[in-house]
Amino acid sequence: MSMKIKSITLVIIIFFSTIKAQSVVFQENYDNRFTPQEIGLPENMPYVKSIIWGKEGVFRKLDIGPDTRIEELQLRRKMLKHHQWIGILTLAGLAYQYDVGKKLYDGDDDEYWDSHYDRHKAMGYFTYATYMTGASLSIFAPPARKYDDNFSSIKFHRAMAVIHFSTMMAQPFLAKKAVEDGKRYNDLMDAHLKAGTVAFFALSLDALGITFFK
Amino acid sequence: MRKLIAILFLQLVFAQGVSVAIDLEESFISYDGKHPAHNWTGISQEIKGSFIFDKDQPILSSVDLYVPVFSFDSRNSNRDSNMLDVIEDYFYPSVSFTSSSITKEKDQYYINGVIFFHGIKKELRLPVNFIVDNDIIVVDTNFDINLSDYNIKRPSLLTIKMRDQIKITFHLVGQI
Repeated sequence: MSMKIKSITLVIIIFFSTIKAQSVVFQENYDNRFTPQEIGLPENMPYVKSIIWGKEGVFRKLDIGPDTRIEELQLRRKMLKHHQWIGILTLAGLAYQYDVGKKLYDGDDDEYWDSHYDRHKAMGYFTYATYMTGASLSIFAPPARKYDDNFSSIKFHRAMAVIHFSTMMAQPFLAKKAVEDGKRYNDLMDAHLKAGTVAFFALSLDALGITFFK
Repeated sequence: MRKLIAILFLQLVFAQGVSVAIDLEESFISYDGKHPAHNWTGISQEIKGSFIFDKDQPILSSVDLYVPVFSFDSRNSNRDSNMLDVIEDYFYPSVSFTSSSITKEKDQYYINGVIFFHGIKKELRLPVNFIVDNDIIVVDTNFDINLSDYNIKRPSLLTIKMRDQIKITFHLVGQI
């Protein structure tokens, strides 16, 4: 091998070894850090969520929902945005309902009763509908990317949801029964007011918790 | 032949950098998010990539680091999931920083490079502090970025969006 060829070979080897020693970027260009990974279902899914969206969940069996996990996550985001808005609307409606309902319950003003009873009833349907719509948006939303066991605002939200969901379910039932059953009217109206009070304050506390807790 | 000697000289200079073994127990990168209602911090210790350090001439050092965005933990999985949604980790799974040069002005080192986040590349110039103690190196930097610069739609809580600016803190401990 001639001296010239040896020199050129040496230069090439040194050039590439220099590049490699100097630049880690060159080396790392080959890795897959920017290659999107397949997104699977999260671990530790809440029980209700796994019944609906788990591998063997109801929606999977019925082939309900988007085709890909990415579309599921995008749908989830939209559903939870609406859940927030509807939650605010429901809370405002319940505040009004609580105020009117309590005055009707006290019942010492016939004029107030005449002018507000139908309104209270109509608002009852409205808040029940908005509450259940908001709850459905959360319950039926596809699963998130992560679930953990830390106590956080979302855990608080879920705990409070059990309380306001059950009392919201009971509310119209108790009112209807009270109207139908004259003998137990007072007891059932007491229960209706208690359920309404718990629902309103639990939802208020929930909104404060989700807003101000970390 | 003079060129060959020059290249050999450069090779000798560059070869002095050593690869730093990153201590993943001690190192972390965090972001501080702010919302009128509360603040929070998300932390990741999954720092990956390469860090070549030149003890004698730090300005010849280089870094190429990245962190899977899924690894950030704010102790609230719902918030982490929201964060992953807005930065679309299913399309952009990592945030990375690759240095192009390191400069020293007065007593302060600056690392210049490119951050790649949410599919957007941006040049950054970050002030860095480092301490070398025997074979341990500790590197610290913190800086602010605006989410809007990276086309990230800010999440909102009760219709109020989180603050656009987030603070990034980077603490790396490594063995030379």
